[in-house]
Amino acid sequence: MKYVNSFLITSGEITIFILRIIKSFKMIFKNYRLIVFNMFEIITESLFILIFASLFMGMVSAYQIVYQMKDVIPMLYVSTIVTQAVLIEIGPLIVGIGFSGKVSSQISAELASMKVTDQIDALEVMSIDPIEYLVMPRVVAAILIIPFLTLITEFSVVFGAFIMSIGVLDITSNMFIEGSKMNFAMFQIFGGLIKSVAFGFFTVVLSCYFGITAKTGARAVGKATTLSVSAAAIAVVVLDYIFTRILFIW
Amino acid sequence: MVKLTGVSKKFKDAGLYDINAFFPEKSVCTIIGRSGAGKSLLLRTILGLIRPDSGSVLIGGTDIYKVKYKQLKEVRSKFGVLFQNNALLDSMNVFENVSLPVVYRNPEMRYNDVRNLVKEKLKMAYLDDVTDKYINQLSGGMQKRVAIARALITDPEILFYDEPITGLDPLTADGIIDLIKNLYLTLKKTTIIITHDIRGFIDFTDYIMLIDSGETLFCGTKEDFMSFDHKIAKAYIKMAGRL
Ligand SMILES: Nc1ncnc2c1ncn2[C@@H]1O[C@H](COP(=O)(O)OP(=O)(O)OP(=O)(O)O)[C@@H](O)[C@H]1O
Ligand SMILES: [Mg+2]
Repeated sequence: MKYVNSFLITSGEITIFILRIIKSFKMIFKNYRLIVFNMFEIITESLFILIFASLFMGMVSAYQIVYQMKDVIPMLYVSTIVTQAVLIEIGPLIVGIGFSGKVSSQISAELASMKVTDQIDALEVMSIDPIEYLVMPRVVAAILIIPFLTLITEFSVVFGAFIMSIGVLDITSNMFIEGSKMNFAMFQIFGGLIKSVAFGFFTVVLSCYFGITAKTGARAVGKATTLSVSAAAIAVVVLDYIFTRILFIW
Repeated sequence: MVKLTGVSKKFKDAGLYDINAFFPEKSVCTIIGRSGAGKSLLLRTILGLIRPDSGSVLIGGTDIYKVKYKQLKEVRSKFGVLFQNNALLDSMNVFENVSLPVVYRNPEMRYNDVRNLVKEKLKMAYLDDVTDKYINQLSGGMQKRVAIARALITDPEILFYDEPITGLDPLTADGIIDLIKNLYLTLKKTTIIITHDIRGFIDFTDYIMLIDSGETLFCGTKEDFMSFDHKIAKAYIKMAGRL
């Protein structure tokens, strides 16, 4: 009962937090520098690891499909499966999980230590709304940068699969390209991008929330970070289910 | 003018209990009390950061917990605060830190004007040539001065100093005490000093408030405090060399 209670309270607080963030969107133009700065932060934080993880993800996927389906489907379809899965599911999911690990821990640790050292209270007293100044720029930066990161991730997965296919799996490059075009629809890319934007939005919102509401002391920074990483990871998979149902399965 | 009436705030194992206090305009008030007495907590309620469970906090006639956020912001624009651990933004250099409050409020202010204003305030805090340094490149005493310069940048009506000399060597501490004293003598702003080392402040303070375990033990003029008969008060009076 105690947990249900605190879950409900936290959910309510996060809802109010989100409304306040949306309200502070009117400061986007005034704070554009902060937004640009945070976009670069996010890119340096996550681009390399996303590309690296996706390349391997692609290689493993191609290998797994061949291993499981060798005598069941024509090898032409290997790249079809990879591409479809990447656009709809794997791409956004890699970005989401990558964000919940790397970006979310960075943001919540940073904001929590600012909180613990009174920097956030100082902003508040200087009549600088921490939501406008610290949270909104991070959220907007994530929303703007995520589609780009997702496309790069998706390309990297397919490229990884491509390397594996022509290098190890006896699939020709023509076959791979033909296969990946099959069943392709522009809508899939957009659906995937919508998902990843939602993942990024909630990941950053949660990490800002747990960072800014950290209690006092060094332990509080650690606690805020673990809380935000696990909350973000859970949010990503739950949202993934919801959005997949809405967007791709009627 | 700062007036607290029946301010209470309860935490699990600490808090403030029925605090009454009055700090007149343009006076110097020193809040003293042991470590953990609730001094910083009291400051937070005065700054509008922690809403008390009951009671009211009046700043120049505005009950800050009864008004809208926008009005609270207006009241806060009269504050200049030195936080206990400076609370400088460590991702920024000195110039960005000191200029932040004005730049954020008037983004169209010309760069040269900002630069001059920052220079002027740093000079008031006896600092120059540090504008490009990052906060962690400065000594503790210098950080205090930078934080004081930041507090001064908006020409505040009320200056708060939370433990301005704690953790500093005697020489640096004397420098900070001199600075606070001079700022008071030149600017004549309401000054509220929180400390557990009353020595340097006793000669220019007008009012003293003594709190312990979240309760007011004394709040009144320095002269009355000198004859206040209480164990903790006596210890402070002795410390100030007045017994
Ligand atoms: N937000 C909070 N939540 C829970 N307890 C708090 C909170 N803020 C302060 N306290 C508690 O209130 C008590 C008073 O703390 P405060 O920081 O005001 O002491 P202080 O008089 O400033 O001491 P010091 O001289 O060490 O700075 C402490 O026991 C602290 O744990
Ligand atoms: Mg304190």
